[in-house]
Amino acid sequence: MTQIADVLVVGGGAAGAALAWRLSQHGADVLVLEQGDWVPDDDIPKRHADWQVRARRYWSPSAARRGWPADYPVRNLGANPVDAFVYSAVGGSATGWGGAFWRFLPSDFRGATLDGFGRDWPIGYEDLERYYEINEAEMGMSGIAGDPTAPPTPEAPLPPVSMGAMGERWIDGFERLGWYWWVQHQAIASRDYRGRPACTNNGHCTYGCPTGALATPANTYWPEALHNGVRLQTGARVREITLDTRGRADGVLYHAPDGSVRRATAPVVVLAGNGLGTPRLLLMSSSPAFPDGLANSSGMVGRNLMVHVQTTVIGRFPQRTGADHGPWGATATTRHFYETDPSRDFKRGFIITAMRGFDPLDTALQTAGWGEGHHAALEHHLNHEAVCWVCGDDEPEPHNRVELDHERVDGFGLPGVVTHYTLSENSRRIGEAGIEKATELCYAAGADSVRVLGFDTLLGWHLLGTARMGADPADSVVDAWHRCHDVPNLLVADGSVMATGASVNPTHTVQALALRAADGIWARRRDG
Amino acid sequence: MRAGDAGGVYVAPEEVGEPLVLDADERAILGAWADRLVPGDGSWPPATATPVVGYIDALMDRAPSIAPAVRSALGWLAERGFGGLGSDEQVAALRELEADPTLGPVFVSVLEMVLEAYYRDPAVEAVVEARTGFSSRRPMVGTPLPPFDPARLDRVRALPPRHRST
Repeated sequence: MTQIADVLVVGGGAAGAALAWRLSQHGADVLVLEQGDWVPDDDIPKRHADWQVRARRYWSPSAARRGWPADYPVRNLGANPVDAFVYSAVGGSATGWGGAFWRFLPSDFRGATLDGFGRDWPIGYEDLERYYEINEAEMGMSGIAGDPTAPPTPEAPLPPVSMGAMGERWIDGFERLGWYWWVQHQAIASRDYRGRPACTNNGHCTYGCPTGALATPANTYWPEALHNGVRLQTGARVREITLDTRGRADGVLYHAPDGSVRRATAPVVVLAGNGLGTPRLLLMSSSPAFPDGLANSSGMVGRNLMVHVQTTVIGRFPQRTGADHGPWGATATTRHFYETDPSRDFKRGFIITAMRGFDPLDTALQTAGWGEGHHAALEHHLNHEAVCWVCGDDEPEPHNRVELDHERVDGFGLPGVVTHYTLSENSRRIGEAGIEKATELCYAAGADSVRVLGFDTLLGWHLLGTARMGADPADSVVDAWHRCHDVPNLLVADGSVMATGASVNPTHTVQALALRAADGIWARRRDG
Repeated sequence: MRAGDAGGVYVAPEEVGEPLVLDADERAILGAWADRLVPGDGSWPPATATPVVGYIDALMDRAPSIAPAVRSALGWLAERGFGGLGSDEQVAALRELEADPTLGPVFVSVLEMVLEAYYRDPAVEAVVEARTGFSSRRPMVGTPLPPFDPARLDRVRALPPRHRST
């Protein structure tokens, strides 16, 4: 049986949920196909005493390791392979996130003009400003206005989350250095908010929030969207976007969990599979008219993968660091080194987010060699460490890419993906500077030693740029309103449209883009 | 996936019971191996004071693809009479196993499984808390903390803007 809707959305993650909710507020009939399922509360690791083991087994963010039924194979190659972190579930990769919630800065949309870096976006900060505000209210952002490293904003819906002693120690470090810093804005309820309880500082947030204080699409946008009448089909693995005789998208074919192939149609089709899932589906939807993949006349589908220049510098402190409590992604962050500084040997910049410490199992795996001395090493590091996370702006480069992997297929025989990633020289310099400054911060905060994760394998939380937005159809996949240049009623509304990736966690901007895309769809609903 | 790595396969503590895969000789070698990885030390129990062998056996049952790799490493140790060696000789044998191009990845996988079973054991968690102050219960139940004091931002709030206009 064919399902019919006004708007068909592929992907029920951070972007798909926000877009479906916004369209449902307007009154549109929306069908969302999500390959995963709802995550049962009982699966949240921190609801169980052995949360540390569960977190690195079935909850692992690495699709290559986790192996849920809805996962597709992901292989990672290149000089700096990305450990691609994705969750196939209602809520998408925000199932296992920490809640860091950033607006991009105006300069992030003008990298080419200002710095000769990447491509300018065809939209600017001002185009997203009202959608940031909506998203902050819907997700329930904690924070505080007044950060001089950003344009003025309205006050945050909720006050900052608690710092704890370690947070205060980091702030002491920032103050000693005289750097700009600000409290980390978080999609975490610091007070009871819209049915979600106030955060109780459980910590280790990416291992699932046992109370629901951490916002996810599943506990924010989705309940309202479903109440508004959005239809959500879980366990739906889309295999192909179909076209009508005019070359316009008219729907999709998807596998139901029993393997049967079903069809859904709509006059508007939106992809929200993010940096891996969206190019995968476009490349799988090749046809005689689009032999290199649907909407890929530019050759940019799957290209320009950006993951951010991510690493961690871990300070070891003589005092205990309270590693068993406190929102993990917060305490405070510096954008002191964010904007391009002509005196430095690289373009663009980075943030340093001051965080908390690891759990016993992770600490043992990272720091305590086997044999005699194992426990002494554990005692030296455990609850005496805290993490500085460095996140830098990586330039879009066509050779960093996502391709189909026909050697490894999913449960329906559909190809997996392979990522290729190598840090550029600019990214290496950003990384080196980030490590140097994060090390400085650790010592200013009282650390007696540091260790550095490095770049042999890149943390793959942020998968961006693989269907980028641009004004030139020869050089980009979608236009300023997320419409594919080649197939105007096919839209991409997720992190893959980012022309450049800024230096901050992207989820807030991904959702702001999706909300704006929804308004664009609604405004043009009678255009044909 | 690394040889011997069960990936996302999970076995709960209550699912660890009677051996399903390994025979008595294999379990003895695995136990001796585990105790060299995590020997007892003061208040810290040795690995085999916790269900490490049963946990690995249960993972081998649930993820049969790892069994040949683990068995090959156990066989390698059996050929060297591992169970009858002194502690220094056992350590030397394990260093050799760890450095072996083929079996080295299996060594890492076994080490990870041993640490998983060890550090989730309630008796070990109690030692962890007593020795380091880290409570594995707190991330489940939470910890009261005072609210953030906005006055801490006074210096930064007074600084000039530091973002570029476009």
